[in-house]
Amino acid sequence: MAEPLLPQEFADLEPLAQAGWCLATERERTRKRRTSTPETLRAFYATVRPRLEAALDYLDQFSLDAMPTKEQNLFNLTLSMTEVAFAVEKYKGNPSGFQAIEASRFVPVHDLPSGAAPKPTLYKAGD
Amino acid sequence: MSTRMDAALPIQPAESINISLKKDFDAGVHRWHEKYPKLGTGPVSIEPLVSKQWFEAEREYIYKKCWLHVGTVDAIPNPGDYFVHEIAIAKASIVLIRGKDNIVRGFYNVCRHRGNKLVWDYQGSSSCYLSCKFHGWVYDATGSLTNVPDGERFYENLEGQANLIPVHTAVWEGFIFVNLDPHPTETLEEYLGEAGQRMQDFPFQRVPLQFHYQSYQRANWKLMQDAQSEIYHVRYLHSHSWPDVFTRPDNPYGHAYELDLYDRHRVGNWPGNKYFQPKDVEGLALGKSAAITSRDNDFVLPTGQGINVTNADDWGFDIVHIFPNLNILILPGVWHTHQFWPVSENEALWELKIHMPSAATPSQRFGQEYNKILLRDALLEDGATHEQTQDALETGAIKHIYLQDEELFVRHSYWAVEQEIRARRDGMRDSLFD
Repeated sequence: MAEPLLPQEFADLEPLAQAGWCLATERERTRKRRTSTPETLRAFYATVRPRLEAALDYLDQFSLDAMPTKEQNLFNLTLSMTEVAFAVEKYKGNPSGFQAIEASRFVPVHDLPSGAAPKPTLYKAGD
Repeated sequence: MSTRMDAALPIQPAESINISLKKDFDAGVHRWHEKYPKLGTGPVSIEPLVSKQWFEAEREYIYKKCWLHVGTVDAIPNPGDYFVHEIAIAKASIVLIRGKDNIVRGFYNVCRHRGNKLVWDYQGSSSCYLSCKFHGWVYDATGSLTNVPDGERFYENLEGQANLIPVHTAVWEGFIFVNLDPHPTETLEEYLGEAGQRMQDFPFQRVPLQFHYQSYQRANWKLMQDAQSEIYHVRYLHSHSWPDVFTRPDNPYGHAYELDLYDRHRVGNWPGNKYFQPKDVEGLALGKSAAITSRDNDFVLPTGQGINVTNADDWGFDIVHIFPNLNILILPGVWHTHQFWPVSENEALWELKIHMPSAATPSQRFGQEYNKILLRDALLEDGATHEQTQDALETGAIKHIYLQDEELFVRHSYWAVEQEIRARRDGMRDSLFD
């Protein structure tokens, strides 16, 4: 068994954490959503949904700026839920919706390291 | 009312709809034409969307002459903070920097020595000095050249002389504008006119810049802007993502409460759907943060006189369009800017900046994240139409597009672009109100 990523109270979500859903940036989270199958997204949703309020209440004891590692992992997992919930609740589990451009075409500049973008206009698909 | 309903919509029973309307959004099928008869009713030529000549005229007579929004003051809150804005159509790179005196100034991003690009990154903080990476020339935040390494080997004293080339820069309600014309014909305040005055009432600065997206697309900039200028498409293109955020049984096509045109700019006021019923996690998330659906809670900002001009209690949003390429979308608790920067006649950079309250707690941050995704995923759907429309127009199969009365802003966009070119090129400025 790998080293636990989540706080003990949320050990039931540990398989999702081990499956790589504790992602720090929107870019990573939306990529994970869009490369998952509808079955994977529905399973994630079904597992996290009953624990969501408890997780958020638990996390609210901590400061956004100074979260211990396991709490930060749990928080990043709940942020993945925003992506997954959108696909499950709005798009019938379809990871990318029905009539949309690739998410990679819509670059979250806020996720780029500050000052790292040499020329914003150069960002195109796949960057 | 029920005869207008579409059985496919997830809707409230008609009896439960009891909204006291400030204005009627169905008062006359051609009401906007009657208000602005000068815009006409005919089909609109696609030439401005495909023509290289149009693009060249827009470069010379619009983007090199008009005031252009490049960012907001909260992006550079401290003295020495800077950002770079590229204006591709004018081949200009502009650096905006806040000085020790707190004044925001704009300069061409070009070192006076041998013309190297001065600032290479996109944004950052400095000690109010910018130095060139090539030979170490240093400028202060007023643009003055303050240090030239090995300077005595030049043949004249350049410090304080070979300063950065300034760009006319002005700030209105926290919005930074530049004008690339060496001699602007209007001040920013004159340029913004009545539309600018209406912005004065809204507390933009109360919610800071949080998120910033860019999308580079093969489509004309006006075509992309059109999609953010009407609600007609929401019921169809966004049928999954936003099925009932704005549209509702008694207003299935999202008709506006008020559309006000100025010669260049425009301000519109639309109802929302008070009876919007979010999905499960959606409802949880939207309840934790200021949302595009906020109502009757602490997140709702006061609108003043100029925004939500009809004072609708079921207000959805306003769109303030500042010519040529800024749309400010104002909703009860948040606001966004969309900008559409032309690169060529069929390429443009779409820039979205989201302003919302800062999250104080993890659960607020969760709500904020959902809000962002709700908007982003709908915009990915808008994005799907841009390149396909451009491709389709470039086949030459059609010469005109048809616009209905509620697409007034789209019709006005083509009129305003043409008038600006005629005014600057031919000295003939027409007015909607003559």
